[in-house]
Amino acid sequence: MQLKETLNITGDACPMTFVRTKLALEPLTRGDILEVVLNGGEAVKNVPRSVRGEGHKVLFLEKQDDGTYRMLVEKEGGHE
Amino acid sequence: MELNFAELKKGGFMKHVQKDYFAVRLRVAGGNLSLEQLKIIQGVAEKYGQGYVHLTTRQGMEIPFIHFKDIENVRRELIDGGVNLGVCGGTVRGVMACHGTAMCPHGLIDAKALSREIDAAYFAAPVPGKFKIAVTGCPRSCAKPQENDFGFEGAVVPEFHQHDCIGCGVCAEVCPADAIEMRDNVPEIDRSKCTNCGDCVASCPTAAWQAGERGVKVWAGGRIGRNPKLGEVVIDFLPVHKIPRVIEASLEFFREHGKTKERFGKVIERIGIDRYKEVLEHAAQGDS
Repeated sequence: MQLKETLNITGDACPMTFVRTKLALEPLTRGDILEVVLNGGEAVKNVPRSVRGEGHKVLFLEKQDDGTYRMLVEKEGGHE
Repeated sequence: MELNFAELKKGGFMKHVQKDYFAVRLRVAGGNLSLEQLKIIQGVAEKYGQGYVHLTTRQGMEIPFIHFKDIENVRRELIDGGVNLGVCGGTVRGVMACHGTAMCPHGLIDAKALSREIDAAYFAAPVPGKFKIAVTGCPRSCAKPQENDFGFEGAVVPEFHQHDCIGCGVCAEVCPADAIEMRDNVPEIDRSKCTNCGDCVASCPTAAWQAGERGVKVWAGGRIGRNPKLGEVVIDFLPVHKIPRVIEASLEFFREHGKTKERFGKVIERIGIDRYKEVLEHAAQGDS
């Protein structure tokens, strides 16, 4: 289990926030960790649960001092 | 050939401005028409109409410009093809619905299936005035129950499972009713504020919030027309299986107190919302 990549989607709007997260997870191997920086509001309401809906695991999600959220996702399934 | 206008109107035929022409209204439940039905409708519109159909504001469909001599043929060809006729006048009208859980990520109830069940049981039931019903899957209200005489809005009671919670606080952030507060990294819900909208369940990244009992919020008395007024919430949470009871009680209330052509909301205003709510409460009581 290791941190493979960091993705910042604070400049994106739904549904691109989720699409970019999904694309970032695709090339990773099962067990890899993706770090995502995302906005509060619509993004934090939709992206984490959509990631879970795709079979990945949200390990950590915390609000930062600047109001954005930091999320750690473990890739599950996909490339074996 | 004698024309009985009242009979024609009840059967979904509406007189045009143009002499001898009528529009035929079709029965649509929950905004769905199958492709097979569309083929039949297309055939009838080509043969008897003027090459187009009209989409109504309530997810219905009408075929304009049917000559009165063709009415019997049109009726038979539609019904034989599995397309039923709509209604006008003092009846329960076509039931509207959004996508609900059939495909919408926001849906809390299967609005389409529910609208079909309501249509099957109550469509065209006679009442003093028009009675429009809408079923919407969640508080976003795409099917607009607030604008209908009677309406249902999907609702869900959230259940918390602490062992799955990572303390992220998204539920507290998204709750539109401010019913959730984080205490020591654990969400605490104030049930008196909760509106059963399901946003906490939908947004939880670890499924610590899960959907408990599903039901509906009940709206009554909405209308547009000359004296527009949004309906009001008459039941905050009703289990889905009790829906037929409150529909029946409401139709009965309408029949008992309504004047010809009066809208349901006007009847409630005239007789009193408290008295109507008592009727609903009584109807919703019991476990079965």
